[in-house]
Order: sequence, then structure tokens, then C-alpha cells
Amino acid sequence: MADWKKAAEVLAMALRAIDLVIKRFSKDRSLDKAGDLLTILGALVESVNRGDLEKLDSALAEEELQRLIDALDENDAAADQALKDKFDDS
Amino acid sequence: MRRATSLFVVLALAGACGGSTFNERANKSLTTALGATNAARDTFVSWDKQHQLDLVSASTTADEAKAKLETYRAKRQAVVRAFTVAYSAIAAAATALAAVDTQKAGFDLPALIADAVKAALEVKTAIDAVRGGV
Repeated sequence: MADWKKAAEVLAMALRAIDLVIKRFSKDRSLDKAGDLLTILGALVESVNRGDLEKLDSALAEEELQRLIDALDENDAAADQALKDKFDDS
Repeated sequence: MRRATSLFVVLALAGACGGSTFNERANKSLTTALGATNAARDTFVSWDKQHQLDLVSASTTADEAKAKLETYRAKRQAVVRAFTVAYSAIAAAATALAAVDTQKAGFDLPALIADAVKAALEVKTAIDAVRGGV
């Protein structure tokens, strides 16, 4: 059995993964795959025993999406600054 | 940008083919879809920055620049949504693939993989729509 810290980490990642799956299916399929979600959750809980932390990639995908959002925020700030530089002194 | 998105399509499709076992093919497809989506994201971010600066540069008043930026950013949300769907689909498929014995799984894992690759390809459509419309 994995230690409690690892179990907590897996559970947190599992919840994030399920949240992503729900968001995905709720957009296109009205949660008609609820049974599949339970199957995935059960498998994730099992993974606690196997110590498969390194195989769970949902956090990575979330991180990549956050990079996009952060980069666009930086672009917006740069454009806003360019606007200010061009027009504020006139 | 157009060259980059063409490469994106080729890579994503290539990732969906080849390999020997289902797990190997699925892993390759998801890895390729993630890499291609990341490449599309980075290319789009670079284009977005230059495009916004061009909008400001081409404007003659502050109000005109603000209006142009506001319009563009509203349209850009379609691209952000496409990336969100793509990354979510990739994450869902990768999580299922890693955690489940595919022989015993009670759901359609190949469909999840196909969804992930399809969502990644839809990013290209969203980017093309924004670039052509602004």
C-alpha cells in the first residue's frame, strides 16, 4: 500500500482528471458517459496501490493550457503598453 | 503560420497511425497530439503578440486602437476554447490510458483517443478562422 502522502497526491490528481473529463463530456455529450467516469475513477483509485503517479498526465495538460493563458495575458499587457506609449503623450 | 499549422496537421495524423499494439499506438497518438498542440500554441502566441502590436500601430487614435484590440480579443476566445478542449481531451485520454487495463475497460478508449486527436486538429480550424477574420 502506498503511503498517505502519495495517496493524497493521487486523489488530488484523480479529481482534477475527472473534472477535465466532466468538462469535456458535458460540452458535447451531456454526461451520458457517467458510467465511464466512474470506471476511470475506480481505476485511478487502484493506481494508488500500483504507485502510477508518473503516468497520470492530466496535470501536464493543465500546465500547458495555463502557459497559453499566461502568454496571452503577457501579449495583452504588451499591446496595452504600446497603446499607452503611442497615444498618452499626444 | 500557415506552414506551421500544415505541419501540425501532418504530425497529428502521423501520430494516429503506425505502431504495433493498441497501447503503443495510443501513446504515440497522444504524445504527438500534445506536442503538435504545444507547437500550435507557441506559434499562435507569437502571431498574437505581433498582430496586437500591428493593430495598435495601424490605429490613428487611442479609441480606435482600443476598439480594434477589444474586437480581436473577443474573437481570439474561440482559439482559447479550442485549445482548452484539445488539452482536456488529451488529458482525459492519457489518464484513462495510463490507469486502466484496456482489455477490461468498460468504456470506449479508442473513442477517447480519437476525440483527443480530433480536438487537437480543431485548434487549427479555430486559429485559421481568427486569422482570416481579423
